[in-house]
Amino acid sequence: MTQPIVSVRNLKVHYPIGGGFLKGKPQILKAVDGVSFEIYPGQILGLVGESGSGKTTVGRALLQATPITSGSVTLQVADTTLQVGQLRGDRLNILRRHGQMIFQDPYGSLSPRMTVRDIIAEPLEAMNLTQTREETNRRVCDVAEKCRLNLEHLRRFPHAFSGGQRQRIAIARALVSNPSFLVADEAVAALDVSIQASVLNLLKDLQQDMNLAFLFISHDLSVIAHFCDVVAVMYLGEIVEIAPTHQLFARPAHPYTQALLSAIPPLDPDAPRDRVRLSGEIPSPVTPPSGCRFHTRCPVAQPICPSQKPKWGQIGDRHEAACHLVESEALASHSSDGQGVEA
Amino acid sequence: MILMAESSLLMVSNLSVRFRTDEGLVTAVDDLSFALQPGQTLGIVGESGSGKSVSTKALMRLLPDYAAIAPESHIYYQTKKGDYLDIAQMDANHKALNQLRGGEIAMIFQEPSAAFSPLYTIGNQMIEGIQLHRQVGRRQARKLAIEMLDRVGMTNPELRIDQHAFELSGGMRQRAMIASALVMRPAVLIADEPTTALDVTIQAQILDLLQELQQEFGMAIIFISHDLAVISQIADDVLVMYLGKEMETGPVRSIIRHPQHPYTQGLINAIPRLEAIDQPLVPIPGDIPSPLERPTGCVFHTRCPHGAAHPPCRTSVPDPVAATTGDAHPNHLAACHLLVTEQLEKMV
Repeated sequence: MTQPIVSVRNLKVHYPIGGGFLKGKPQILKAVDGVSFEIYPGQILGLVGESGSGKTTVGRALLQATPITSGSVTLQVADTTLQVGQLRGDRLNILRRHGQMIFQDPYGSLSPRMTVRDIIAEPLEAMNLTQTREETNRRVCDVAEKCRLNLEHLRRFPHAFSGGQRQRIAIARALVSNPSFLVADEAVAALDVSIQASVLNLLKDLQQDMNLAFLFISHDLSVIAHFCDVVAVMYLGEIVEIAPTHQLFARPAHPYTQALLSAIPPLDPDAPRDRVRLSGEIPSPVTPPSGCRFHTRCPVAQPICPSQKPKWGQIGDRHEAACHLVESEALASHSSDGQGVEA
Repeated sequence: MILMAESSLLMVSNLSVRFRTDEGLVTAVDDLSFALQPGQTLGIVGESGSGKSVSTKALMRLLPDYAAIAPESHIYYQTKKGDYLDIAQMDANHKALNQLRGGEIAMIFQEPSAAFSPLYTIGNQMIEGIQLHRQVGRRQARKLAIEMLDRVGMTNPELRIDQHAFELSGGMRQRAMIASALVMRPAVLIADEPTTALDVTIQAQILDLLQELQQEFGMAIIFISHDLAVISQIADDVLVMYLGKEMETGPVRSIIRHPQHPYTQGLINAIPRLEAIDQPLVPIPGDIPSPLERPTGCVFHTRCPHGAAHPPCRTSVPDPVAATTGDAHPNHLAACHLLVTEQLEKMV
């Protein structure tokens, strides 16, 4: 098997909050608390969870946009191995060139004072990737065309564009340096459904053309289902289930995944649904619940859940979930096999 | 002019709203008509820029100064006392409007942090509203506010009432806003994308809550959303809008199962469905045109898959006609030339 382009081992990102002079020790907000996964070249990993689950922080940590508390993030790009977190100078430039980000709000991420051409050209100029202005212009035009932007648009300012067009400009800016890995943080959440579909289709085409690897962050499971190869479900700084997309949606194993799925409104008002209604909201990451962090909201919590952290249980091929119930089910099915256990 | 049906609580007829801008006059709502029955939910759906919010703000006369309601517009409303008002024709400073806003028709918004002032506590703001509409003392008003916060599922309402909006989570803030909107028991609640900024899990809780409260208080709801799936969960009737115009209207099941208008069909096809994750997403081509370059004829023809091939679409504005295909409901109307042509062909 090929080498993963991104490998994350036991990543933790903790932020001190409050505290300071005369205020005593700060409290620790555990935004990401022990997350591991891999992304292979050309693969799209979806990261889903409620707000406050730490999805965005994971994305930022992968591109050294936030300090890493412990654990490791390794990026394998352009025959170099980058230990994200401590990169400086030239090696940081390699990361910036090969790992790019698309943000949620195309109204906030594009400078209103720059023309579209300058916005798209800025990464090339900042990283000295081109020698002449002609070369820059050529690359800007190439990528603009790929992102289905009109060349006459390049001279205009962002305010003249609709949300969908702005997001295409943001995508062009992210792709102009020919990256191999992209973090898309809620890249379609601010768009209308009708436009969302066209931006997703564009991203998919570009992904296949350029063999891009993606970390695709979204709170919307149906968007994730359509766009991603593998899905990781996050809750309060931890991944609770990870599986290939088809497996996850056919057999969601973790009660949290099941609850997220059943909260999606179906289009037909009479569609039969087994509703798992989650009560309450996501607890504070400053004082996460003991044991399994989901036990305070879990509809099927057991006596063991508050006291002991669940281990990862295997459900199927590359499909794992961290839940005591999954664990005990796996044990039960294992011993009912009967043969060869004690051998 | 349509006569007000005896049962309607609110009846909008030929409502047009125009904005004066530096670049010229912009039509935000164009000749819109709909009715709202007591205790029912009307869902208004459309892309951003389709005039959903502007048309409901007109119902409360909350439009900015540069907006003008066209003289031929009527918004008939039957008050709790049984009087009939034409909100569109009233003077913007009319005293009765103050009673109407908040007392008869209340509104909740997408962004509760923007709806609450950060300088005052939730309680301050709720009590102010109660005392504007009712002759009660501060203590009594506070009691009413706490009761309502409790009713919408706030934990520790006695504590929360003295907190500021920024101290609450998104879901709790939305509950606080629902409480302050419903404390006066309005006859109509306008909910403008109230769940768009929330997680799906919290969205489900808020939708359940709104339905419960509607049962209990018997209010009518106008629910605005760009998400047809959310609308399908809560609405009895649906109004599909595009560029300020009504495209299709009818009972929710009929619209979802037998969409007649190419725009509604496009909206439905663009939704990523969990049942069909291998099927490609079908976007509506192009972007919403700039309001300054309003298309002639049917406003949707520039993005319509059939618009180019059908000449009348570019020149004349289609009238709503009853849907005849399949098991579409008799009250199901769509404004599309293709339907008229189809029906004529059938008659021949």
